[in-house]
Amino acid sequence: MTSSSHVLEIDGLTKTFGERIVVNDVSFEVRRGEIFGFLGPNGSGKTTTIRMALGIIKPDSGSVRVLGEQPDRKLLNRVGYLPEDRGLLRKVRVMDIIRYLGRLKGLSSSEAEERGTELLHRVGLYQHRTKKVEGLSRGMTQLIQFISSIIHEPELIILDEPFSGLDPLNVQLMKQMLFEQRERGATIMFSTHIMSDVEELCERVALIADSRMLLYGSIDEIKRDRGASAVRVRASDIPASLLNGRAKPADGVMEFEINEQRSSESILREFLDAGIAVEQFELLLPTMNDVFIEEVTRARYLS
Amino acid sequence: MRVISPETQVILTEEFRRQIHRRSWQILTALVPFALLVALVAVPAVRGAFDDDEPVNRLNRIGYVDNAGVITNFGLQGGPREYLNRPGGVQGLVSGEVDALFIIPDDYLQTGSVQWLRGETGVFSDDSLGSQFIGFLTRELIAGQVEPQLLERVISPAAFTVFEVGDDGIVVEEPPDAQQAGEFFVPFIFAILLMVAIFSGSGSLLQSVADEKENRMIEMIITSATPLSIMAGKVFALGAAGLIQVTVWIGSAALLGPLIIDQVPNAGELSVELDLLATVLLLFIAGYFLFAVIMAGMGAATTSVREASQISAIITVPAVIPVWLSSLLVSQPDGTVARVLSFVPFTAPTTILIRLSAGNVSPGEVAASLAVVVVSGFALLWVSARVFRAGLLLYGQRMSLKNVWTALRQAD
Repeated sequence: MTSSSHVLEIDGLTKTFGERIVVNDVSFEVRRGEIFGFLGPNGSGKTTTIRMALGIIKPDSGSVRVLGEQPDRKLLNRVGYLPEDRGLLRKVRVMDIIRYLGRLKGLSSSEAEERGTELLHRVGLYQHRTKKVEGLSRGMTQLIQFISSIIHEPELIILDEPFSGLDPLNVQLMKQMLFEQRERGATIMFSTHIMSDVEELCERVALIADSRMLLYGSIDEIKRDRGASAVRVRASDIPASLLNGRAKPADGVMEFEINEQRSSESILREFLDAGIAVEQFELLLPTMNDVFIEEVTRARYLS
Repeated sequence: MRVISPETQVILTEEFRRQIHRRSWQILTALVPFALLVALVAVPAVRGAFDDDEPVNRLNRIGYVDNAGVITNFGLQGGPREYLNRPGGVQGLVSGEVDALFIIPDDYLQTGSVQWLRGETGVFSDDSLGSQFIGFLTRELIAGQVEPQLLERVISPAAFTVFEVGDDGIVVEEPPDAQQAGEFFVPFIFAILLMVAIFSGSGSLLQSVADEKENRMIEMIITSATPLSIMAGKVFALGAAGLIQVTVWIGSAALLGPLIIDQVPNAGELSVELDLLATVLLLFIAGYFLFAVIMAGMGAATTSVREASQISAIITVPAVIPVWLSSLLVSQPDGTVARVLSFVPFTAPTTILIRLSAGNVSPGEVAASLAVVVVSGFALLWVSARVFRAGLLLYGQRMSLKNVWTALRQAD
C-alpha cells in the first residue's frame, strides 16, 4: 500500500477525437480516504477522463498516477471500477460472473465465491445467485456489477454515474455501502451530475464542462468563496418594502435573495429602520446545484 | 517463467467453461461417436439386406428347371432347388420357397438362353441372384471335365495387384483398396469437420467478443487484463475446446472403428498410417487456431453482435473455397491452384487436407503450409489485440475503415 496522501493524481490530461477536444488540460487529485465528486453535465468529458485515468484510452498529453505510481495492470488490480455504460453477459449465471471478475482481480475462486456470497447477501440478491443475468432487472444487474467492482476490496473505487438507473431504495443502499467502503479504508471517486448526491457524500469535488475544469476544491470552500446567496430572517414583522406582494409567513421566517441591488446589510438595515425586532438573521450559502448551474451556464456563455 | 499470464489463465478457463457448456459444442462433439454407434448397429442390418458376397447362403433361394440336362450335381447341400417343370417352379416362387426361378431350355447349349422368373421387385431389383446362378451354372458345366485348380481359375480368373508408375519411372505397389479408402476419407472427413468446427466454434468466439464489447462488460475486464491477454485467453480456450472435440472424435473412432470394420467383409486391413493421422491433426488444430483468431479480431472490430454475425458469414467463405474446388483439388492435387491455395493462410488447412486425401503431398510442402498458417495466426492475434484495443474507442460509431484506422492510431 502506498504512503502517498493522494491515491489519484490527474495532471494536465488532454484528449482529442479527430478534430474534437473532449478533455482539455484537466488536473485534480483525490486524497486517501475521501469521497470525491467528479461533476459535469452530460458530454463534458467525465467518462473520457476516467477512462484515461484507468489506462483504457491513452491521453494525448498529461499524466496519471494511481496509488502513487504509473498505472499498470498489476496496480489496477487494487482499483475497482464501475463503468458508465453498464451490462453483463446475459447468458451467464450471477455467481459465475462475480467469480470471474473477482478472479481477474487476483482473488482465488473460493475467495471470490465467499466474498461474492457476502456481498449478494448485503444487497439482498443472494437468492438470485444461480439465475442467469438475463433474468434480472436492470437495477439488479447494476448492483451485481457494483459488487463485482468492490469484491476484491480495492484501495481506490472509481464509479462512473453509479446511481443512474437505480430506484431510490437501491440508491440509498449503494450510498450506505460506499460509506462502509470508506470505513474500510477505501478512497472513492464518482462522477455525477446530480448535486444532491454530491452534497450528501462528498467532501471535495472537481467540476468540468465542455472539456475544461471549472472548479476544484472542498465543497465548503467553494460555497464560501461564492458568499451568501440569501438570508433567512426570523422577525415579529416584515417591512412592507421587503414583502414585494408576498403574504406574511405565519411562523415569521422568510428568506430574501441577495443580489446586486440588495445586500445582506441593506436587508438588515430595512428591518432596523422599520423598528422591527430581529430574532434570527442567517446568511445562506449557495447549494451545489446553484453553483453547478451558475458555473456551467457562465462557461457556456463565455465559450 | 510463466508461459501465460494469470489473467490469461482466468480468461482461458472461463471462456473454456462457456464453450463446453454451449449446446452446439456438445452436439457437435457427440455427433461423431453417435454416428459411429449408429454405424455399428446399422452395418450388420444393411449388410443382411444388401450383401451379395455370400453366394452359398443365397443359392438356396434359387430354383431352376433343367430341360437341357446340363446340371448334374443338384444334390449340393444348401444349393439351388430343382423343379421338374415350369408350373412346379412357378408354384415354388409364388409360395416363397425361392426368390428366383431359372428355366434352362432344351437348346440351351446352342443358344445360351435362360429364362429368369422372379416376383415383383419394385424400384430396387436384386440382380445378385442372377450372378450367383451364373457362377453355379459355370461350375456345373465344366465340373469333372477340368482340374479342380483350373475350375477355380475359371470361376475366379484374376486377383489384381496394382502398381503405380510415377513420372520418374519408379514403380510402387498401390496399397490395398481398404487402406486407400482410409487415406482418402480420413483427411477429407477432417476437412469437412474443420469447416463445421470453424462455423460453430469460432462463430461463438466472435459472438463472445462482440457481446462483451456491446454490453460494455469489457471495460471492467480491460482494467485487469491486456487486450493481448484477453484475445489469447479466448482463442486458446476455443482451441482447447476444439482439441477435446477432436480427441473425442478420434478416440471414439479408434474404439468403435474396428468393431464396425469387423462387420464389413474384406475390410479387415482398413488402416490409416500414423504420420498421416498426425499431419491431419496438426492441420486441423492450426486451421482452427487461425480462424479463431480471425473471428476474435472481427468481434473486436465490430460494435454489435448483429454486425459481427453478418461479417462472420463473409469471413468463413475462404474455408469453404477449397471444398467448392474439391473435385479440382482431388483430380489435380499437385496443380497450380492446389499449390497456391496451400500457401494462402485462410485456405491452406482445408486445401492440404483435401490434397492429402487425393494423394501424397511432400512433407516439406505440408510443413511450409503449416508454418504459414501458424505464423499468420500469431501475427493476426497481435493485430486482433490492437483492433480490440482500438474497438473500445469505437463504441457507438459505425465501423468504417477510416474509423478503425483512426482508432488503431489512438490505441497504444
